[in-house]
Amino acid sequence: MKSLILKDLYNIGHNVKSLAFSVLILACGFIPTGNGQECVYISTTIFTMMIITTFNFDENCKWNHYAMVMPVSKKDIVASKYVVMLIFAAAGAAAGILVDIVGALLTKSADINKETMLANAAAAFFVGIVFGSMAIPLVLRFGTEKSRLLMFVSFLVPSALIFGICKLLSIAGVEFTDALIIRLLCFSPLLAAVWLYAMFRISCAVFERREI
Amino acid sequence: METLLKVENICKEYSGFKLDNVSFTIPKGTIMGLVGENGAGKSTTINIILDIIKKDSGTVTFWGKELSSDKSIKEDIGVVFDEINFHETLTPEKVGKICAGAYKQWNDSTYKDYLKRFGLSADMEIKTLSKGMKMKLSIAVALSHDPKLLILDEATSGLDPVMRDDILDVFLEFVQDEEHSIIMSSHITTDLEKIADNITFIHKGNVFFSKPKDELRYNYGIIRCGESDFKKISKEDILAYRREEYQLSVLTSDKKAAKRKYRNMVVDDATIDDILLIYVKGEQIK
Repeated sequence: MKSLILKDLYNIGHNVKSLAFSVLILACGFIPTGNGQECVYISTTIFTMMIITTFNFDENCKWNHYAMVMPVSKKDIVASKYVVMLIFAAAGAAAGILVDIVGALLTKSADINKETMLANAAAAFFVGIVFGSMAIPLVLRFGTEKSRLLMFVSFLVPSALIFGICKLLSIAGVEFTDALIIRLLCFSPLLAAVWLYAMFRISCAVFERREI
Repeated sequence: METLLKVENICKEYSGFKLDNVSFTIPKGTIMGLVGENGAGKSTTINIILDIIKKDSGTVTFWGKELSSDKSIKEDIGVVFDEINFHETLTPEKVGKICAGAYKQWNDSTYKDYLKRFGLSADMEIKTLSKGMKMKLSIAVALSHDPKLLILDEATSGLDPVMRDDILDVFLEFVQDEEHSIIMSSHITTDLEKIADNITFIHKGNVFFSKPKDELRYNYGIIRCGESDFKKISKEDILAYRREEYQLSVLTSDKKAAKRKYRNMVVDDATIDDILLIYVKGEQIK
C-alpha cells in the first residue's frame, strides 16, 4: 500500500503550486474582512477534494489496470485512497491554520486564540473527511468524467443528512445551545470515523465488483 | 519440459464476443508468441491470465498454482502493456521508488542498471520521453523485481526497427535463464519469427493452433496456383486457401510433400503473416 500512497503524493506534487495559489487567493479574500478563521474550512475542503484529481490521473494512464498486476489487492487500492484523502485533509487544515495565524498577525485585530483556532481546524478536518469519504465510492462507481457532479453530491448528501438530523432534533424539542454544540463537536471525531469506515466498506464493495 | 504457465479451457462471453475454451501451455525457458487480428481475443486472454478480468470458466495456473488463490505469484510476473501506466509527470527515479514499495523482490541496482543501459535519465519526466523510451522504462520496471515470467501485450508495437531490435535482445537475454519464460502478444509477426519458440494463433476467440514456430517455418508452405490447378489439389493437403486477383494461395502443412506432389505449381515458404492472412481472410474446406 505504501507504493500506492507514494504514487498519489508524487502525482499530486505537481499541483502544489496551484494549491498554494488557491490558499493565497483565499487569504487575500478572507483576511481583510477579518474572517481568516473561515478560511480553514474552505482550504480543507479544496485540499480534500484533490482526491478526485488523483483518480483523474489514474484514469488517464490506466493505472488501475497496471496496479492489478502488482502484488496489491483491490482493497489495498481503496485503502490507499482513504489514507491519501486523510493526508490531504490534514494538509488543508494546516494551510487554513497558517492563513488564520497570518491573518491575525497582519490585522493585529485580535489575540491569537489557539484553542479556537485548533478547534476550528479539527472541525474542518472532520468535515473534510466526511466529504472526501463520500466522494471516493462515488468516483469508483461512476468514474471521473462526472467528477464535478460527484463533488456536488458528496457535499450535498452529508450536508442534507446533517440538516435533516438537526431539523428532526429541533422538532423533537432539542435546543442547540453552545454547550450542546461543543458536545457534538467533541463527538465529531467518532462520527467522522464511523462515516469513514462505512464509506470505506462501501468503496471496497463497489471496487471489488468493478471490472477494470 | 516443465510447465510454467498452463491455460486450460478459459471462456469469457461479452455481447458480440466469446473467448471459447482457450488452452495452451508455456514451458520454462521458452517464448510464446500470441498472434491474431485485432479483436481476436489476445488481450482478453492476457487479462484473464493476469486475473484482471474474471473468467466465466477454465483454469490458469502458474507453477501449478492459481493466481487468485496466491497473490504472491505476482512477484514473479513482470508485465508490459502497450503504453506506460505511470502518470506523465513522474520521473524514472520516482517510478523506482513507487515500485520498490510494491515488490518485495525489487532490486534497485538492477533497475538503475537497466536505466543506464537504456539511456534513461532518472530525473526526466515521462512526458518528455519518446514512445520507445517509455516502453524501455516499462520493461526496466518489469525486469527489476526478478520475475520468472514476462507478459508482454503489444509491447513492441509503434516502435521503430532499431528500438525493437534492442528490446528483443533484452527478451532473448531474459530467457537465457531456463527458469524464465515470456508470453508476448504482437501484431509484428517478424518480431515473433525472430525470438518466439512457439506460436499460438487466436482467431475470433478460439485457439486456431498452438505450435512450435519451427514447425510453421519449416513445414508450412503456400501453393500458388490458378483455378484449374486448385481443383487438382487434394483436400487433405489444404488447411485454408485465399482467392486473390490472379491466383489462389493455398496453405499446406507439408510444403516438401506439396512440392513433390504438385510439381507444376509454385510452393513458397509461409511466414506467420501469410498463415494469419490466409486463415483470417481466406476460406477453409468444409
